Amino acid sequence: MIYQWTLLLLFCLLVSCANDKPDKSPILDLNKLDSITLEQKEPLFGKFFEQLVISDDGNFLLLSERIKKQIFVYKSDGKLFSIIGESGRGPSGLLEITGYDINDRDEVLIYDALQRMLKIFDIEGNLLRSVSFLENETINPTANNIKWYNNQVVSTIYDTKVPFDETHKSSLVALADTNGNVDKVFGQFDPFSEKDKKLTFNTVSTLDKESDLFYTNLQTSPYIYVYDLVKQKLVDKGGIQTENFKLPEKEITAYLPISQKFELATNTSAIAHIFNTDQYVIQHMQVLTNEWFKSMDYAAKKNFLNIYNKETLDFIQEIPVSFTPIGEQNNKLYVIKDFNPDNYIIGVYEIVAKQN
Amino acid sequence: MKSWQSKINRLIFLLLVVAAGCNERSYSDYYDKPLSEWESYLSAISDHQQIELKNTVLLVLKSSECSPALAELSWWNSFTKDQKRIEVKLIIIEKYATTAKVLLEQENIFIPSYRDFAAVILDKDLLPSTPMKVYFDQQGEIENIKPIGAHSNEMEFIN
Repeated sequence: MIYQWTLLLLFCLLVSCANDKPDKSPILDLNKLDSITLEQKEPLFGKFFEQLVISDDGNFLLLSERIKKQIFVYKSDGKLFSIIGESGRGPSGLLEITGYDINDRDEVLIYDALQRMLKIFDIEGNLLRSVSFLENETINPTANNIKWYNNQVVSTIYDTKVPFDETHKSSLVALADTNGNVDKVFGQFDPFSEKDKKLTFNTVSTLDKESDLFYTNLQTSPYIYVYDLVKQKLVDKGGIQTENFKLPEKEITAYLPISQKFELATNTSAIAHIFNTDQYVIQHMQVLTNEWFKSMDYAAKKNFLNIYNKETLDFIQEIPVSFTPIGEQNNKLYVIKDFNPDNYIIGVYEIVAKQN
Repeated sequence: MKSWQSKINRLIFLLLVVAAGCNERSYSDYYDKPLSEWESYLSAISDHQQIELKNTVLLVLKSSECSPALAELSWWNSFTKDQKRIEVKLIIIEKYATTAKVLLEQENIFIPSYRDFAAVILDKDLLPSTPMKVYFDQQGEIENIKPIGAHSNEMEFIN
């Protein structure tokens, strides 16, 4: 009799557990709004970096050409509008574009890490000014993170005074004027850099100009740190290790042979971008496949979107995607659907609550 | 003093970021790859052309290599122009023909070039990684293998 009662109790418990089980079905989805094929004509582009900067009004799309060291500017319909800069030294010369942005006056800011210079062009490619940037400072802007912020420049940085095995002691954010002088350095590198087993200095970022908030994310870390640029201090943090977030099993050091570095980094993840919309903060996470290390074919990486509630930074959902997200503007996510330079397609999506 | 220290640190930082990727140490397994395997690979990526590798320096790189590798590519370009004693050939690992074309035009390269669009060279394990250069002697034996862009002496590489 006791046995039968136990079975009945277990059955009731199981049924009750099944009823209480949270609904794991996705609650957010991506809705396609547009598709833009970039015009390919002489002078040809060969390969763009996986980053897109979009003007505030959405009229201009800017991509950095990695072979030619120039910025290609397209209209929102995909027509080529202008090409900014030229490969080499000299007033308009660029050696290594490691960051660029456009402001509401359509002025294009470019940081050249090899020349350690900031160059500002108009949208047609005319040089407006060129200054040495952070010349006497020990800090280096990290790649792809220089941004206009009102009439200043904001960037994530790495402090070269800090030993390479103690990156977590480095400050993180610099505000500078457009003459290249630092106004303020603050913040701290993500402490996760102590245990990420990857040698990295790069922190990705996204700026919410309305609320003066600067969202930062060390590429090898799942965590998001939010800085208030007016108060110049950390105001929030969030982020979780999602299902597909993976670290290397052994430490990757600078002096390992490159083939060994690739082997150790295969199938690990990296946060390639962080975006913000009115409602969400979105990590674009990539899993680095063996195919990617062999060929450097961007399409060989696996892509995921980790979506967080912007207000609370609570994790909502990880979404695997078949394309490469590269930019965000006005609540629209811009993604690369085809990297072929003869058929380069950018898709435009919005995040929507899924209809059941 | 602080300024010098900072400059040295900055230089190390740049070297680590830019040049460390071009660093490789041991290639002993790759010296034994027979010429026939190399020629078969080259034939496969060049629409079945017969490509001679004896007395040849073969440069292998991707279209998105770091600046020191591209600087060395430019050196071999001039070397090809100035002498006929040793052949130089180039393999670009790149999925898209237009990307490879833009690279050759941008760097003004006239070395005979072939495109390996699926990174077959690494699948066949003929080399451990890129960018690399391989020197085949007059008998077609591999005489030397080194990374491209690692600031080595190119004349020593072929002597």
